[in-house]
Amino acid sequence: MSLFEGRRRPPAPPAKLALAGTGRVRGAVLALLALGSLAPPVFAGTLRGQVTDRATGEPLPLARVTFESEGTLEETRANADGHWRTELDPGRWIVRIAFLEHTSSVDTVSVAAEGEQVLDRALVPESKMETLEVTADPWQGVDDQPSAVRLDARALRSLPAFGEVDPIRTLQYLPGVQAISDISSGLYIRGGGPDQNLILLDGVPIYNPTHAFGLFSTFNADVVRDVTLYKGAYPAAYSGRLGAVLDVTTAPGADDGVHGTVGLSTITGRLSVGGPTGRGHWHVAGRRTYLDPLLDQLRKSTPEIPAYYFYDLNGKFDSRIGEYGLLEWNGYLGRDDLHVDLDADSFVDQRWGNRATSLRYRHDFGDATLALTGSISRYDGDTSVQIFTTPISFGNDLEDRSLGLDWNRDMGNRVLRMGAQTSFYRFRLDQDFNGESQGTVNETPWDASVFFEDDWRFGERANLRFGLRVRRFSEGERILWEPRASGVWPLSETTRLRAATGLYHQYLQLVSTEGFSGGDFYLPIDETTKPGRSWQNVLGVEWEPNREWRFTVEGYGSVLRDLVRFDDKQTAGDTDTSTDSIFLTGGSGWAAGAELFAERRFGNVTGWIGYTLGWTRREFAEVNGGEPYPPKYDRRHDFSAVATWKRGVWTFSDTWTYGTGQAFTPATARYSIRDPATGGVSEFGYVLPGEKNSARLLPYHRMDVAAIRDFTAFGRPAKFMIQVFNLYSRRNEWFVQYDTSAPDAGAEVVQQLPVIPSLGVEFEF
Amino acid sequence: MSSRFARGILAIVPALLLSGCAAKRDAGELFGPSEAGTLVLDAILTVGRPMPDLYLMEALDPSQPFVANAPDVISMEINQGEGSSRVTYQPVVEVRGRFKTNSTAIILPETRYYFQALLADGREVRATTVTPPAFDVTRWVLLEEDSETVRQTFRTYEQNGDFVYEQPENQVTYAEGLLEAQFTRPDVPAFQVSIESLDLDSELVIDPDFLSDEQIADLERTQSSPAIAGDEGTLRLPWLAIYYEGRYRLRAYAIDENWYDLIRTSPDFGGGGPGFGGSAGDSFERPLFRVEGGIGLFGSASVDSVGFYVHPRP
Repeated sequence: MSLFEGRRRPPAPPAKLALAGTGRVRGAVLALLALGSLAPPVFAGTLRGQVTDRATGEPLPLARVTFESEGTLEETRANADGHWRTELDPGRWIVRIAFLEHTSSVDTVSVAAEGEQVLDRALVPESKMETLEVTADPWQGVDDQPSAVRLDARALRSLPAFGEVDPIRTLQYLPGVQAISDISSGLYIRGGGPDQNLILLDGVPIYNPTHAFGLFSTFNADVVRDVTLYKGAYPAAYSGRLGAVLDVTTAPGADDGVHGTVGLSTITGRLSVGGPTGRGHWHVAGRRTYLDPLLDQLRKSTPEIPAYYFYDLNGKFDSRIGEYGLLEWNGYLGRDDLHVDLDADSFVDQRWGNRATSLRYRHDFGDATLALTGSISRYDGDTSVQIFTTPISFGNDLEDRSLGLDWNRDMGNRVLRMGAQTSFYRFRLDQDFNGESQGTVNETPWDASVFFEDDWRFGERANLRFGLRVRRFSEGERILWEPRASGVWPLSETTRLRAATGLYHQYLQLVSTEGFSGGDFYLPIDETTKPGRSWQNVLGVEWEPNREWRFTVEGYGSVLRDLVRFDDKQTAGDTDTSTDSIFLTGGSGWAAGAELFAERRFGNVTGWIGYTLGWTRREFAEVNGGEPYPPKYDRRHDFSAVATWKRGVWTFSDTWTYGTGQAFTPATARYSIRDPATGGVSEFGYVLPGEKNSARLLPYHRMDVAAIRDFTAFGRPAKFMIQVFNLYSRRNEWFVQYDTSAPDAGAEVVQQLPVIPSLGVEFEF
Repeated sequence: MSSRFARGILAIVPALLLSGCAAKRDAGELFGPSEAGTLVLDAILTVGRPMPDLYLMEALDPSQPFVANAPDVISMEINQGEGSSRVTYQPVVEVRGRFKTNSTAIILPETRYYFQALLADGREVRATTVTPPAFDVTRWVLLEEDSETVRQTFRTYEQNGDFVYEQPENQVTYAEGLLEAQFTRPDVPAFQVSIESLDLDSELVIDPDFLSDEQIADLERTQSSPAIAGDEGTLRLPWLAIYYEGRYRLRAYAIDENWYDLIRTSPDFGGGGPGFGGSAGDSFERPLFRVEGGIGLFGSASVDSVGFYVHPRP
């Protein structure tokens, strides 16, 4: 922030004058200019602006802006914040600004030599009802980045949900994205697990993005503006994970007064309120489970019934600083709390949650923006168990204090971006059993990185992007080079070739069970171990025969090295907490596959069909006799179909998913040996595990449906929702259990959730 | 391509409603390719004791009822060192798969022993163990919970024989204090502790409201710990291992690599992590068996023990 203190920018100066006046950032800017070396024409004028939605005040990313003058037609696109900028020859220009499902604006503008004009436009939705309710192009391509999709809030809210609208669960319908079970909101993307995903909320990492042991994500759909998922080969602006990036952005408050929603689902009560301030917006939202009173009553007769709740709060505030500055604060607080009283001597207490806050100042220099962001993200999880007076405790804290600088210059046919980020971490891990420490980790590593990205645009439909990130992590003092590249190139009027590649490293390691996420914890890789490394490649073709339909075929391949896996065979009381003691190290793996995606974007009925053919393998010397094995989430076929149908005041939607059965390890024999310490013999022996994950559960399939009815209550818009999870109650297989407590007991399949209907209501004000 | 196509997706609903069903199949389909017939060795050498009886059996098909199944053994022997001392074994006719020796040799510490068995069908089983050093607990104590100072030091079997259970120093009240073994750590990979309730009809000292009668009936009187590092030269016994009042024998084992690998990797013996998914879940991986030509354990340990009496809380 101090970079900008006391600096005042004159109103609407030419861009290069603004750049000349940036004091201490001048050097960096000049360096960028030298790299860019694309100065505007000497006599050109500048036209810039921002495109927003008049109903919501939200920016409209990728809005098309065309300029027409005496037979000359030029075009540009708004960026993610709705900003656009171009250089035009002096003269009169007709400027058309268009965005899907919005009325276009048309203006005639006189461009003066070396002058700069601002043309901000708020586009009116073509039909308010349609705009709010109909899913129109929900999966927007993101800035021509292959393997990236953006889901807007409207799409989120119109699809069937499991009791609670959940942005992450909705992503599980995409090709290449899987769920491990009905109760998990974890994302398994292109052969990678949740531990390989970076999840950001307004740019701040959220280290445990789940409530209720993974049943729901921490993201309240009321405040989410859009969700961008990079399924692989993500750009240089992101780093730190081997697999994918999920970037969740919250919405600012409305421009036209205080508005909000009150909602009640089967699980939670929710309130969201936002509005304008003098020079900006505010938005706060919260939700909380409300089953506690019912559980309290039941507990009077049955003390073992757990006491459980979760809540989360989101806050957002932004304000213009001067004419070109924007200050933005975001905050998140979420908590889960479980308590089970088993008897006077036995109980289970588990609490976990995230806290995140960020302050960002962004300055608009006309053709460039500079953003300085400071953030703190903290995850803590504490489990305290007492069994027959024996205390057991486990605690994990992670604090991430980060500072980032991001510079972006849009030169029309070229965008330069560079930035720097440094993060200071604090990790704590404590384990105690019966009053004895079982190992303590207290580490304070730091991570510093710089990145550069050069995005060349060739007309409207082609781009080439080159990037490089250089990282240094304090543990091991390694310098890591991470080149990235991507491109989109037209093959014809309707088809485009898409490709991307990149090298990635991961230092922070999430340890989680695959079934649920309540006991998740994080640890950094230390100097004893190399960080995990992945090389990701994507190649695909996109076909848009018309505005209505879009088809994509995308192949992916990843090679993974230096993987680590939590060693669950450690010795109790082993106080060696180095990485090579806690983890199995030196693992490798690969993932490959192809995704097909057919999407209908407009009309009363919208939706998509996605199919993925995939393989993934892992290899550790200590696992499966050193032989490669498929992880549990290796899925050969994965199919999903999603449809939303608007009819009058009703919106119907359904989803159907099908996937190859999950891999599991089968028993291959029954044997008996004595317990070496007691000499005791198991009456019916033990089962012998076979090759790891060499068998398959039955194929998974499920249909969810939802019906949403609009109505008016107290003169305000309202919605009533009926949702049915697993409509035909397919009892999908979850896991296999072998029972050795009887002489001829066989295997038993534990099934997943049956049909579960839920209701919800929502009022706007 | 029109909205009819997308409407078709919605039309799938009734078809799937008709076809919807629970996923059911025969339990037998949930087993892998059978490894029935795999040879299973069960042999434990204890330092300072005579050569023990051994077991060699065959694994069964996982879907079949369990019965002990013994292979036809031609010869079985244990050699101390490089063939310097050979102990031969003979089958015990009354117990299938059990073998015994007439040797009176005592098992030595820090010594390599070789096991070898030859079967009639030509198969061979081989295994090796290096016995741990002799292991003596310096003292068995009861610590104060808060200060962890010594409240009382137990009398040992060497001092009082089977009368230790009556010694005032060996009387403890359930859940009061911390039971601990203190010793100079020998060079072993890990330790294991077992506890045995010697009064088989004694009353419960716990009040397990949350357990069913069936679960209470299943509470074990003999239990063993997972592998414990014992880096500080101490082993602590959690009260959760004790359910009944009366006399107890507590054994501490300093174990060899084979024993250690088995118990740290087998969920059946306390190994494996907190995986998800029941008995065949995330932790369901083949244990590390250091047996060539089969599975099982050819392990060794040094052991020390103490006896004490547990009284219920007032």
